[in-house]
This record gives sequence, C-alpha cells and structure tokens, in this order.
Amino acid sequence: MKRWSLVIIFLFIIFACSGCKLKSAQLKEFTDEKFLMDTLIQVTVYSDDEQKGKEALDKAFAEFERINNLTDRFPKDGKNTAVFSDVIRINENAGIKPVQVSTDTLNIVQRSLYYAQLSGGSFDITIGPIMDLWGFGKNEQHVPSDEQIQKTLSLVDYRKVIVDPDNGTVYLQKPGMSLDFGGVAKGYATEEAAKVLRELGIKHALINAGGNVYALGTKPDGSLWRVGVRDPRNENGIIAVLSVKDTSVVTSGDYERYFEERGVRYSHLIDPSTGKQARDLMQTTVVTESSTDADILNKPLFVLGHQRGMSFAESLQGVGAIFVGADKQVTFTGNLTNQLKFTGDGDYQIIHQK
Amino acid sequence: MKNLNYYILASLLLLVLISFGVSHLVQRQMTEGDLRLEIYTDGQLYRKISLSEASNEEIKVPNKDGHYNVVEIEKGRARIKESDCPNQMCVKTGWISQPGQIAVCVPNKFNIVIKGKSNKVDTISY
Repeated sequence: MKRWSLVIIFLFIIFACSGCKLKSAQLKEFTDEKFLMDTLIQVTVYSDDEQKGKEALDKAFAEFERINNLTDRFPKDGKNTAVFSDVIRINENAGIKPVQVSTDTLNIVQRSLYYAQLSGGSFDITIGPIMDLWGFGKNEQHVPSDEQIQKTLSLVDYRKVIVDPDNGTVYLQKPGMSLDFGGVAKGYATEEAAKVLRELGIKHALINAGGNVYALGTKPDGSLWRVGVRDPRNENGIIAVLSVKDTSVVTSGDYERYFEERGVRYSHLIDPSTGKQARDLMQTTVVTESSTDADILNKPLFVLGHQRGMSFAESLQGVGAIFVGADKQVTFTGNLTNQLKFTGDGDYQIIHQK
Repeated sequence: MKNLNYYILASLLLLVLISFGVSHLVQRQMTEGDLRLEIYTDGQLYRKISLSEASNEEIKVPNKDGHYNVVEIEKGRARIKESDCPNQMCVKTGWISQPGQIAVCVPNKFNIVIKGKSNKVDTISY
C-alpha cells in the first residue's frame, strides 16, 4: 500500500513537471518593423500581456524616431527638420556660433570625440564634407579628384569641435565644417530603445536596426540569443554565429553602402586621414555591451585595418571584435572564443590566435 | 480497495501521457512552423506566402509614392527581381532562403523577409 502511494506521488511530480514546461509559452512574441534612419528597424519583445507588449514596441520605435529627428543631416521633403535636428543647426552655424543642443546630442558628440581621440582620429564625426564630396547620403555617388579631396580634408578635424557641457552647446570652429552622425546615431538610438524596454519591465527582446543588433536578456526559454554574422561576399551566407545576452553585435562592411565605378568598389567606410576608402578589410564586427560603442568602434577598426585594428580592439575593456580581411583571412579577439562559432561557409581562412 | 488503486493509477498514467503529449505538440508548433515569406511595404505587412509549397510566381508591389518592386518566388526561396529605385541594393541582394534573411529597398520603403524557426540563428548582423 505504501509503495503505491509513493508511485502515485512520483507520478504527480512528473505530471506537474510536464505542465511546467509550458510556462515559457505564456510569454507572447510581439514584433514590428519600420523604415527609420534610412534603414529597416525590427523590434521583437516578449511579454505576458498584450497591451504591455504593444506599448513596448511603440515606445521603442518612438526612441528611434526621436533620435532620428535630432540627428538628421539633411532636411526631409515637406518636413521642417531643421526645427528638430541639432545636427542641421550645428552645421549651419559652423564658424558662426555655438548651438544649444539636447542632452542626447551632447552625449553622442562626447562619446564620438572620446573614441576619435582614443583612435587617433581614425573615427571622426566631422567627416560630413568628405561624405558629401563622395555623394554618400544623397545617392549621387561619384569618385572625386585628389585635389578636391585634399581641399575638403582641411574641413575634417574632430579637435575643432568645441563642446561646452555646462551650457549644453556644440560649436564647429571652421566655416564649412559639418558633423555626420552616420557612424553613431543608429547605435545610440538602439541603446535608448533598449533602455526604454527595460524600464517597461521587458526581460527578453531583440532589436535589429539595419544590421545593428542588440539582444536584451536571454531568449524566453533562458538560452542565449544566436546572432549570425553575414558573409561579406555572399548575401545569403553566414560566416559565424555569436551566442549572446545583454549585448550588442554590430557589423560594418564594404558591401553596405557602396557604388562601383570602372569596376572598382567604393564603400562608405572612408579613412578620415586620407578622405578615401579603407581597403585592408571587408568587414568588422564589434561585440560589446553598449550599442553606441559597438556602432562607433566598427569605424576605427575598419579604417585601422587588420593588425592595427586588432591591437586597438584588444586595448579596450569588454570589447570583442571579428575582422574579415580583403585577403579573406579572419581573425578575432580572444575574449570571443567561448561564444563564437564559425559556420565554415565561404572560402575564408579562420586564424585562431594562441 | 485494490481495484480503486489500479483505477487511480491508470488514470494518472493516462493524464501524464496526455500532458506530455500536449506540451510536446504545443512546443513543436511553436518551434517548427513552415518557412514563409513576408512582404512588407512601408513597414506594413502586404502578403504572407508559404515558401515550402510555393509555386513560381512574380508579384509586383506598388508603394504609395507610385514606385514599385517586383518579388520573384520559387519553392523555398525568393528575391527582389526588379525595382525602380536608384541604388538597386535590393536587387543585388539576390535570392534569400533562410529564416531571418532579408532583402531591403530603403528608397521605396519595401522589404521581404523569410520567417520560420531557424535552427541556426535568431537574427543576423550585417
């Protein structure tokens, strides 16, 4: 008799446990996408409450819209963006006067200048005039003459950006200078959107802002998010998979915004010191907690190239990086070893460091 | 008394089996699901097509500004075949066939994406 009741208790436990497995199913997936910041933004959140899930999505997209309005460099058709855009106002007042800006713009400028200094100018938010010369941003791309490049380069210098944090102003010292937040705005907006999701109590979410990924928490079942890294020469391929939580994965490549002239590829990844394309790498990926940092850091790593980029990445705390060289050699920082798996697709040569 | 115990035991066993079965089925439905193509214009879902059983088809999707993209669908894959956009990035993307893969036309605010449970990745950094 006693044995029977034991068996029954045992069965009850199994029964209860089989029910447990269903618990994670109570979290529902809410997903939406919008075209903002010249790219496609996809947000997925998990919540047990429909209203809360939808509210979280709306508020996340509102952050992208807000940062977009602050950082737009060109007036949009039919919209008086100059009223909102700090960047347009800063650029219009270059060489004239300091401009009062929002806390967000101040944050972006300060973070950007920090990395400009740290990387010896291989990342520079005053690249605006060079981007305009190449026609990026306005879809009128063409190869400029060396003379034009040299002349325009005199307008590119992050040391001529004067920030006054007490008065909340930004000033460009030379007329004709202009800021371009193309290398940081998406990352900053992603970080702000993730912050809002956390404040709303969201524990699991995935943001993909035109390839800039932020994984909030874990997947609903407690496992790590798996983020694929695109094959730089095959739109359909994935060269590696990163397992992450509470981390950004941001990739830059010469295939993103580029044009071809006489069979040569010209990407938007331009070295601020030469005004021309950096060509040592075809792709970089940065893995770090802050989306802003991840977005920014891709640019100096790409510009510095395989070896100097690797040294720079290794000098930074909590930053992982993957480099795909133009010669198809792939290297990565040692701190990624446990979370990085290469798929073996494409004819890349993976070089494992000791 | 003994008989009653047997009945209880049998019904419990049955319950356990059913509950395992149900939870297994639900999970399977959640994790598998068919490979499908979703077509979006201006961020709004325009059409959903099961790729596993798709037959060859071309769909011309106009947007509200009078521009258009043409999607070509074959069994298990799709691409943006044609677009009147200036940079043609979406056409250059070529065929997509894995869950999470996407072809985007930013100028026309148009995109196609493959959905379905991937055994590889949750999203792609590009």
